[in-house]
Amino acid sequence: MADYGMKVSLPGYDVHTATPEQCAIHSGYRSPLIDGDPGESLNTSSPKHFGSGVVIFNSNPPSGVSTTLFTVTHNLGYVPFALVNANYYSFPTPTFEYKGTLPLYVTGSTLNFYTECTATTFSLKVYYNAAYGSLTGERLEFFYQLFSSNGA
Amino acid sequence: MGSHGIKLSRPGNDVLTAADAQLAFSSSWPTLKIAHQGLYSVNKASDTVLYTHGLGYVPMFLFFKVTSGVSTGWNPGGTIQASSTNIKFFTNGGVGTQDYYIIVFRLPLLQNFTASIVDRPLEQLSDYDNNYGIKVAVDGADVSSTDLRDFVIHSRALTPNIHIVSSGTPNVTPGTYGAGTSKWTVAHGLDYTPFTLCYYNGGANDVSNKPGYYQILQSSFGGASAWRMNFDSTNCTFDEDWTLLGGGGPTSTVSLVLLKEPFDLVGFGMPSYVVAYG
Repeated sequence: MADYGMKVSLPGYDVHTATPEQCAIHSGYRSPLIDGDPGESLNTSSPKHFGSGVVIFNSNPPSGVSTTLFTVTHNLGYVPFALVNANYYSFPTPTFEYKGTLPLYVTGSTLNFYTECTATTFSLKVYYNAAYGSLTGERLEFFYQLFSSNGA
Repeated sequence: MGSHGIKLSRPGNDVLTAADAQLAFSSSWPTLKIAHQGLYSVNKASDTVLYTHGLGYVPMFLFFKVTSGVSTGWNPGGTIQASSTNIKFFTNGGVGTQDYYIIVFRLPLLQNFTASIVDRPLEQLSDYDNNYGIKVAVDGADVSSTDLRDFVIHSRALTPNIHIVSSGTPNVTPGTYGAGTSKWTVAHGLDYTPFTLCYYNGGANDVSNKPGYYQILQSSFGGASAWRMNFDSTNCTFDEDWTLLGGGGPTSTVSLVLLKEPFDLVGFGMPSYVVAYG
């Protein structure tokens, strides 16, 4: 830390001697922030930079290619990064659900959910191959956090 | 929080009554601090150290595959793992070069931490009011900047709040998936499903194991999988199917990182979207 700045230690640690790991915040290190109100200065029609959602598959995406399922236009002017937790529900017999941080992969790479960030958008995408079987009736729940921090 | 400390509510929430997930910051738990971020090009045919962090512990990290200015969360064509000294790419026999963007945080994956809980219902976030608030710029940055990359905290912004870091070897048998599996369980104490990240080292049962290195769980699903994570409104778990791996018991070491942020915002009045495909 420079000769000036701000740090707040966690309970039980002396702020004078606390390491960055023992601090709640430390001005020597930037945090990955999520713009809580991008509509204030950016577009207002796009989904916000954080939120949850569900994709309901009423039909299959094109086979053998990637398809965009959900998009946030962020207009940050640089490529950011995003974190997504997802819960995939499949309804063949037996029904199963699978949870994790994207990307989620199917054995054999026939169904993959992943994120993509460009200088203008964040997208939730799926790579689908018909060898997986039908997606009709299945769904993907997700929670995303798009950070105002470089991801490329 | 004890009898003293600092907390900052997100826009529209009374700091005196805000629930954990409505706080932009609290001195009761750490925010994520970026130790390093950068772009690295690797020859996919060989193991390559991407960054020597020198932190002395295994840090939380993220990576993204970068192609022509597009950043994707996608299988790297190998694995990218962290040890107590560096971040390293391990080949799986790929060819050619590939760029990866890595982000390293000052958060030890193997040092357990549990934050206190302010158990209150979540309510609607209100719009940002720039007439009040607090912002702390990172060293060397101008506090009047409009670029959120220049800040440690900013009351217009949200930042992940660490609820729990829990590491260990699966110790409950059988695990979620029956005989021949074991699991590591974290009871998080929240009334909702928290956003969860999972890092693991497969140990002796993993034929591709890199001793001392941890990777982000990006396992397969559909059919059997050797390692799986799960999270709900009570527990977050990691399962090792050691029978599938040909072992006689669990050998993995896992670190589960639970954030205060709820996985499912429906019912909490925060942004939620329904996409009907097809």
